[in-house]
Amino acid sequence: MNNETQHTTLKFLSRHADPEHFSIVKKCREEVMYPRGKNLVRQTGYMPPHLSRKLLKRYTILEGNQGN
Amino acid sequence: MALSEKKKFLNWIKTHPSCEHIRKQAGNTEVIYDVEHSDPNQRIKIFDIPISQKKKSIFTKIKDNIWVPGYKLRGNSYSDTNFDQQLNQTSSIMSISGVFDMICTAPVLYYFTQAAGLLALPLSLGYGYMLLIMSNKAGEFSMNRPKGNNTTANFLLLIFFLLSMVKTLMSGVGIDLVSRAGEIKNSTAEELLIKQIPTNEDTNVLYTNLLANSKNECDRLIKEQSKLDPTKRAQRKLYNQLQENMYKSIKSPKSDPRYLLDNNLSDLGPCTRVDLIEKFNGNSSFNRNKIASAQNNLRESLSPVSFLYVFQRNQFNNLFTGNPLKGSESNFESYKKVFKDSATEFNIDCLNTKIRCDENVAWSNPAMAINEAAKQFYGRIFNKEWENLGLSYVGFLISILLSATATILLYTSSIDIKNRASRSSLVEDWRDDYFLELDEEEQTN
Repeated sequence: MNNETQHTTLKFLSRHADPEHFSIVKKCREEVMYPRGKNLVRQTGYMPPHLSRKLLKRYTILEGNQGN
Repeated sequence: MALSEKKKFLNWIKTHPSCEHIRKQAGNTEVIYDVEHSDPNQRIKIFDIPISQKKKSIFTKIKDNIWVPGYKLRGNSYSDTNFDQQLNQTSSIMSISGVFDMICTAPVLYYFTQAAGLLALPLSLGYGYMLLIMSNKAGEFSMNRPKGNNTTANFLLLIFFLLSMVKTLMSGVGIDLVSRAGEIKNSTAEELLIKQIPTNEDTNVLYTNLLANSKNECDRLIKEQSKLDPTKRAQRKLYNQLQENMYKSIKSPKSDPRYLLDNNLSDLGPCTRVDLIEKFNGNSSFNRNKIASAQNNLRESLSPVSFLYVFQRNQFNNLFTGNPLKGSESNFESYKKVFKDSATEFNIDCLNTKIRCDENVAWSNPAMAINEAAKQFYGRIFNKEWENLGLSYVGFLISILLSATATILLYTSSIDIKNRASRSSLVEDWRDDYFLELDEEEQTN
């Protein structure tokens, strides 16, 4: 293993990594957050406003079409 | 420039309060940082992602059962900030109503479980908690109102309302049991005293009747005798006979009129009876007045419970335990002489075998305490005794208002289209489609 290799956390790197690596740190963070974010939405129903607007609009049209 | 859907989604994760634990998890993710790697994209590699501790503690579960979080009132297919705020308000009112009723009904449940001794407190708290869970769950489940099929939701809402009302009915009584504990005991004792302590005028009713009968008989004989002329020899014998019958008496070692009237009544002539009764009344009226005055003094100075304890010990023992005169028995020693020879019961001595002499007065039967408290509480309502309205009525009204508000809010929230959307499997499908689009967007980039 290379001598410069080290174990650290993304939080640490987001502050102390070389600026050229910031985009990779961000990508790694998003890689962790994305699937967990999806799970959170599925489990709790919390969702971003643009998604809730879209879903509600579609559902309102559906109920209207059902004539109820 | 418009943000891509995925960026919007990631931006939401980075800012929304409910995603705090995800951000922490991402920050604490361990990586291998290799600055020397030839491929810059490979210089940071994810090594270990900490496991999110999402399991709820037992404390949180208990807390959520008491104070229902707003999100529990909706499904998981849909939500938005406004709808969640509305649900938070609904659940807060529902929970406040439940907790308020739980606090107010706690004394009633405590009295119910008093037979369990030391376990009474935990048992009553357990029952209160169970009642709270039942009404909260009924409220929670009544929110599941699919369009066109409202029967179950309506039924559950009715159950929620009825449970709340049952607790409301007990809430005023519960507050009374705490705030008017002494007053309830005294009112019960007072009621019993009015029913049972006879008035002074009634005490000699036997002699009064006897006096009236004897007087009539004596008057009749006197009238008959007055028609006779004792100077005439023929009538003198009858005259003397009547005289003898009227004043017939016996020679007794005891000259006490009461003794003679009680034991030798048939041997006494009607006019003798009249004389004896009048003599007896003359002698005893002084004592009767003294007893009545002492009893009236005690009635004014003692509480009805203490009065019952002194003059109706059996009745007291049926209702209460404890010693209402605790420590002040010596104040009543002077009254002992007054009541000594009278037929009136006067008892200030406490027998340890029967009641707990060192304890304050308590109900011997806790169910009776609840009955009496309820009777007095609702009695004041039905008798429109508005001037006696106390804390219990304020609590009672608050409980009614909270229960009604919670029911109305639950109903209005449940018929909201957002609530139906949150429970729709179709919306869930659309949401999953959206995620699939995001995944595809990721692959194309």
